[in-house]
Amino acid sequence: MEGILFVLLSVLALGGGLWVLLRRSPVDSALGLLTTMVAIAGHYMLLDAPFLAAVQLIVYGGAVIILFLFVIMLLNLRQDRLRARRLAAGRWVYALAGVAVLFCLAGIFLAGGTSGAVDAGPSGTVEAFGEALFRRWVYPFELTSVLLLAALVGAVALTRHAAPKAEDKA
Amino acid sequence: MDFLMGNIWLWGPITAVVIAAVITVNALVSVYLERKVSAWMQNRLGPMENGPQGIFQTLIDAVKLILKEDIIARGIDRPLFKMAPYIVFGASFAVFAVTPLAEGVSPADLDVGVFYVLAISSFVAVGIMMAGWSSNNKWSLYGALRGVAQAVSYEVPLSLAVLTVVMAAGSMSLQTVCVEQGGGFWNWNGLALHKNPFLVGSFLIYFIASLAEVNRTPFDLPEAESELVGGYHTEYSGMRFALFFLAEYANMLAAGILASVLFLGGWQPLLPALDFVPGPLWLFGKAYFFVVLQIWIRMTLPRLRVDQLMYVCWKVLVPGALAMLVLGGLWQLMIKG
Amino acid sequence: MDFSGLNVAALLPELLVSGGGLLVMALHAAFRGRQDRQLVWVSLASVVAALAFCLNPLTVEPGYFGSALSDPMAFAGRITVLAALVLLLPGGVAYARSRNLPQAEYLSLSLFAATGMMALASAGDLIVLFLAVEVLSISLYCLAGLMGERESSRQAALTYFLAGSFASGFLLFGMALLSGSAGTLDIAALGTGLARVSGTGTQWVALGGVVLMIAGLLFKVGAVPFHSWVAEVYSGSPTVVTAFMSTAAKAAAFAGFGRVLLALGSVSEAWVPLVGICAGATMILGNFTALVQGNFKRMLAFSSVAHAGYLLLGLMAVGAAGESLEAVIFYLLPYVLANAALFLVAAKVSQAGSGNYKLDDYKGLARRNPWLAGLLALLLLGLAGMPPLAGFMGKFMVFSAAVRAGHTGLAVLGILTSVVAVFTYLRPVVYAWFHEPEESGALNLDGGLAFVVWVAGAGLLLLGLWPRLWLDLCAGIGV
Repeated sequence: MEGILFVLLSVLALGGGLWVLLRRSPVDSALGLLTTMVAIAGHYMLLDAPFLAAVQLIVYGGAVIILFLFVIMLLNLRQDRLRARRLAAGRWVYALAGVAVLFCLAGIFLAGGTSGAVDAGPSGTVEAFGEALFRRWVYPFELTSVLLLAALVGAVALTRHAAPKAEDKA
Repeated sequence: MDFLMGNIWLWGPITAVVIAAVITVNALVSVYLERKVSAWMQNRLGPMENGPQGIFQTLIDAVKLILKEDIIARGIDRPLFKMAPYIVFGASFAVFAVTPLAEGVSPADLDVGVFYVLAISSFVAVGIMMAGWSSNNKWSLYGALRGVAQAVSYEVPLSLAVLTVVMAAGSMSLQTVCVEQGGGFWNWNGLALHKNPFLVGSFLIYFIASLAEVNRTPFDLPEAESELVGGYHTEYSGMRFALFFLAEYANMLAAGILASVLFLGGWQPLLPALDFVPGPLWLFGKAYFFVVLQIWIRMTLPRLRVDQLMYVCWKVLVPGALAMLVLGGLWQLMIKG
Repeated sequence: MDFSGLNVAALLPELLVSGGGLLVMALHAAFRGRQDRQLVWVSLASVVAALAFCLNPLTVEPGYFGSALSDPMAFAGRITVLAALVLLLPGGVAYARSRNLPQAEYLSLSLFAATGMMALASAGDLIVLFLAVEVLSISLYCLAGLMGERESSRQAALTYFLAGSFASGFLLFGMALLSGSAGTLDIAALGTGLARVSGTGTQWVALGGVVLMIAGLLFKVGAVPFHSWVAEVYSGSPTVVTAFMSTAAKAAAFAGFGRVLLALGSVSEAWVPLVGICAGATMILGNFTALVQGNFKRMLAFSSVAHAGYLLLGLMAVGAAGESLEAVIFYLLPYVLANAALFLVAAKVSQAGSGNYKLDDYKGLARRNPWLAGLLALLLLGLAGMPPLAGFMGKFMVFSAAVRAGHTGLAVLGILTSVVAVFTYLRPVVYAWFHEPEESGALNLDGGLAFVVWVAGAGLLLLGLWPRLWLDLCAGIGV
């Protein structure tokens, strides 16, 4: 049962990734990304981390992808207006980078996985999560809040004060 | 008893069929209720022709919808257009999987039940977005943009209000939240001033935010018929429209169920002495109380403007919900130890 | 609740500075922007309080389960960042006011950025390292775009954002591979973790991680081959922001870089050639490009690329020979002092002259304000590395460390390119003293700018004459 689900979710995740790359319409790409995210949430579920799965769904499915779609729709990018961008010489660099990454990941498999000493806690339950997040990792957690606050202040500053002067300030 | 997890091959299909039936019947009942309640409030009779007091009216409407031609206009992004109603319906459908029906009885008693509900229901927005975009129609797109902006914004105060309850109960499992509120209606979170008075504030915030989440008046901007024809489902007809319709009423019920579980004790009876009435009856009774409340509000309040909508969310509800969360947490720490 | 192992005191400097940023925003909102002129005092108070706490022996213990360190590196990084803030904030606010930029946002974003920089200098594990880099980067992206009515500022913000996000991607992926193969997130334990897997297939994964991480960090410090964003971002951003980027942000990035390379000392053969080539290329390219610039701001931008090359050389010595980070720590403070002051002077001179940072603006500066011209010469020569100024000691320590570590060729290259740098830095000095002024009339400095220039000049001289002063302070505070 778990094996079947694992294969199914992996196919979905990889298919979603490919879909993102191969589709020309940005909306399709965003939905492909959504598929990948949902499939990864399923993987978390299989790994016995339901809390993480729910977080993945809320954060990516409920917020990030939605905002992507929102921006795409506001920009009104239609596929007929998007021409295939030629990568020219750069493509070999990308291809090389891709192969290098593949090589690294294959290395992990050949090495029989990582040493696995990064301890994620006893299990993925809410309690274990809270325990780890608010005790051992409370500093990064707080640092993240500074990060978000800075981003918020910056966004407000950029939109309120630093936007190019519009003709009609209604 | 967590029967869905026990044997998913046996109980999975059964649960699915039961939920589908509940959603369908709910739509029939709710639409009838909506028409009748609004008629009474406006001193009309409402549907009277089919059956006694017109109770078969919605059934006949449903048959009509199913038999109607399914029109897909030209210039529509077909795959997305076809997929959208199923995503919306599927999300509304999946929420019911964690409903606690009675003590220890729920299809799936997830450890992270509340969180699961929030996560799944956020997918409704994806479906709405797909519907609005693929329709290639300005009314649809505006409706979708409004709907999604609203859903994403109001999710924040909603989640914060829910978090207050989770903090008080010490668990995200809907069962545990219900069990915590046993012993009579004075122990229900939404009424229990002696347990944690800030939960009452959260109750109010939750209810307002849930109205926005299910696109009900005064937050029905995504499908404001006087401005946007039908909003994101303008282009839909026939069966696909019916799916949106079902999902909408299912969402109303789901919001009611969640409100009653979190704040009104779920399957807990009004008084311990009324224990002989089965839990599901209590649960659905309370949930329909909220549904009627939603209809009542629809008939009473005008629609908000978009800027007012955002004002209410970010400058009233979010700070309020944060205050309830902090004060409720302090209460929990200081008073209850 | 159990808070043992937390030791909040270890983070007090960061907490005070970020608290200052919050307070600035809150006061700005509470007074509806009417009291913005006073906000700079709030910011400075938080910075000075943080400085005071840095010197507090309480902070010696590492805190937050080893995520926040208090070693000499952290101490030096924090002091350098805070010193840059003290120098830049008053002048920065005056600059913001004169160009109609939002002051409260400028101040709070600067303080948040400084929080990230200090956290980076004291990061004990990879997660904090990454988050700190992000905090400082995101704040700086926004600061770069604050003058958004100008195309150049918007473009600078966007370029910085794109280049920075790319670098963050590299950094994060590298960290994932590295920590996965070493089995730890603790930076100091990376070396032992890697030693355990050497000879297995995982070694190659770790190698990929190291390379990616170094690439990301090279990006962040603006070294060749990832330097292309520097000129555009530095010249397009508001000058006070450029000053902040090229001083405090660079110091913090080098502190973090140094920490990572120090931990990877056991696998130095993997990265020393890589960093060495980059260091050499950076020194050559930075110095020669700076030489041909006719724009003072761009000249400073490329000179900061060149300095990144010298600093990389110092870092290499660390990994290879187990040297301490003394040379790098020492190099940073005078560099930061001189650069901060120079950017503020540039803003002032340019405003009084052409308005676009032409070198010609400096012609005859000595006639218009001899003190300023003198201090300008002092600061520029300090950057160039003239004895007895501190820049000389910094370069001397870096090059000798490189020679001790066996990188004689690169050290010679460094010395040769330093000669080129002298030409670059002497040009404005020659303009100031030996050319006729294009405009007449005195160029008076306001109190804040005069303070900055004098403090920076005195600092350069003091550190040059008694380098042990600063080094002993750093060593004394550390465990």
